[in-house]
Amino acid sequence: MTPAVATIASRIRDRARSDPQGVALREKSLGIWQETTWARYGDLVERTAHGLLALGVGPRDPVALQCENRPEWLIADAGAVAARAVTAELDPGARVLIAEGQEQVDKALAGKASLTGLEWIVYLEPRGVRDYSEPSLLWWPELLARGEGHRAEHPGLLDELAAEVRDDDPVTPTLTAGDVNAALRDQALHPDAGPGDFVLCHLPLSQTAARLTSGWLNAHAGVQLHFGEPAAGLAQTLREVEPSLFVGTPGVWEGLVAGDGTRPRRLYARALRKRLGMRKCRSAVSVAPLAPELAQRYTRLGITVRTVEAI
Amino acid sequence: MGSLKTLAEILPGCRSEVPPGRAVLEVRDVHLRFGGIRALQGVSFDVLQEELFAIIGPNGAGKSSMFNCLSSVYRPQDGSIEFLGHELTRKTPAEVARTGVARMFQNIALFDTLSVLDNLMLGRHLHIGYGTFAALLWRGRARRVELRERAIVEEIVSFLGLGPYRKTPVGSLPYGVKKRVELGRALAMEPKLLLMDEPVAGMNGAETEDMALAILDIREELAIPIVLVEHDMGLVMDLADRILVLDFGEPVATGTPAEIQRDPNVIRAYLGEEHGVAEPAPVDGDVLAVVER
Repeated sequence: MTPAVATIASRIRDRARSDPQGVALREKSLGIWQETTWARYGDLVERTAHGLLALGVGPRDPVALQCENRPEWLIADAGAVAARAVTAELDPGARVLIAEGQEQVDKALAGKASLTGLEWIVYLEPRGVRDYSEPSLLWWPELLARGEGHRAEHPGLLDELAAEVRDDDPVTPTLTAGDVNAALRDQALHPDAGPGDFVLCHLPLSQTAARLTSGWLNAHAGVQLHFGEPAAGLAQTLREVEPSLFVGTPGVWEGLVAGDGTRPRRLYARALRKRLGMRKCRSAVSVAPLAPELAQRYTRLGITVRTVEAI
Repeated sequence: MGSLKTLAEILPGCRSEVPPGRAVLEVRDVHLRFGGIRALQGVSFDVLQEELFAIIGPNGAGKSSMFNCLSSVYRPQDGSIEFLGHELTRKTPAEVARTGVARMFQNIALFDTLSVLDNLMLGRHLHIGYGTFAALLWRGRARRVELRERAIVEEIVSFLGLGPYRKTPVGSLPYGVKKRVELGRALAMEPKLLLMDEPVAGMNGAETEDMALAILDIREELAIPIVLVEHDMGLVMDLADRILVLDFGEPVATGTPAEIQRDPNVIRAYLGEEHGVAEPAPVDGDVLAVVER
């Protein structure tokens, strides 16, 4: 028998077993940074996978995902992969849609005629949706509860599914499990990333580069992933987290120093780095080349921004 | 994960034992005069439990005067205002607040130099009780109570999306955000009746929509009665259960939005005498919205 191909889900499962108390994710909620351990992360992914299976999701079925950057995005994504499904943004054939809240639920209900395969809408934020009587709606904790029941009835099912994964299994509409593994193996964004590293999950997770440098890197190398408050700006979250690895688009890099007219001198570089939240950043990457003046500006601050194509 | 609690769980003090459909606030024949000016002349209305009751009227109609009587800033010369068995006309504003009436001001009345958190914590003042000595030591009860209250305030911060502004002095915030802080402070008081004086005055479309959503969420989760004074007819017609129309201090009509839009007296009050009942009634009855724009 050929050995099973590693996936994001299998990596999370392995870390949950080898380093259960290690911090996988941090999320700012109600003003406090809350930690999620690998054990808890792994358990949530398992329950989500079982929940999706309980809703009838099968191998290669698309699962639609429409929400902001938040831990549930990664949990749903890895859960779908563990169930051997494919994570898409909005696929008209998807049986299950995982939606942020009222706004996305309303849109899905309004467009239900064209979403022919849609049977379930799982929502994360209950505000405004609690009183909907639509039978296809399911609150996220209810999905997890169904998953728990399904897991009790089918213990070991996820291990069986994981053993069947092949290189050419699709995990997103455009990428296979093999593509993801190759991208992680060859990634030059943060080649020496490890469990001690702090990473910010700020780029839109629908982009492959964002997933590679946040959720996938987290499962692959064990970096600690941080989710800021939804309404807080990137600058504020950066100052709070002080990541050791940081990836931005040229727009992000530009935005961080926009409006800062001071011409940095070497004397102030330390203070300016601290103000940017870049004091501890040991690997700064842009996914496309920066304008020379902008790159120079960061160099003067003592931050070398490397340009690396994500995939 | 955001908060999984409903506002009713966060603010249990908002509950009153009055069943839906029964009057919470009874205003009877209120007269208010400033010297020779008759600001209010015989205004009477009931606000029912869980109801959103709007007061509208042209400029100078007495809306804000009525509002100030409800929060006891003005004392009417005649008439009674009864809220859950309390006669409000004989109480001071502080005593009115203690009966469970919270007010959001039209002209923002926050502490500009204090942070958003501190302004909201002030809203919790009624629910905080410990001595100066305990406060100085930051031990025992003081610490416990402050932490508990801060957790409640954080839930309100999350509900109103004020997270990024926690530590920002209110004076430096944009207008729309200040209005949300103002609403947050009123909510922090755990009101049994919420008074909103022109919550969307001067707001742009997006801010108005945010405020409307917040009002809808408050109604859905907290189910408290709300009295709303507002100029934005679109908002009033969309949100209100019943409307009282005032003109020159006198009540013109009370009814549902649909009734009010068809009422000939209301049309006369807004459009003037010559447009009175002789004019053909507007087809969709949306005349007030047109007038306001």
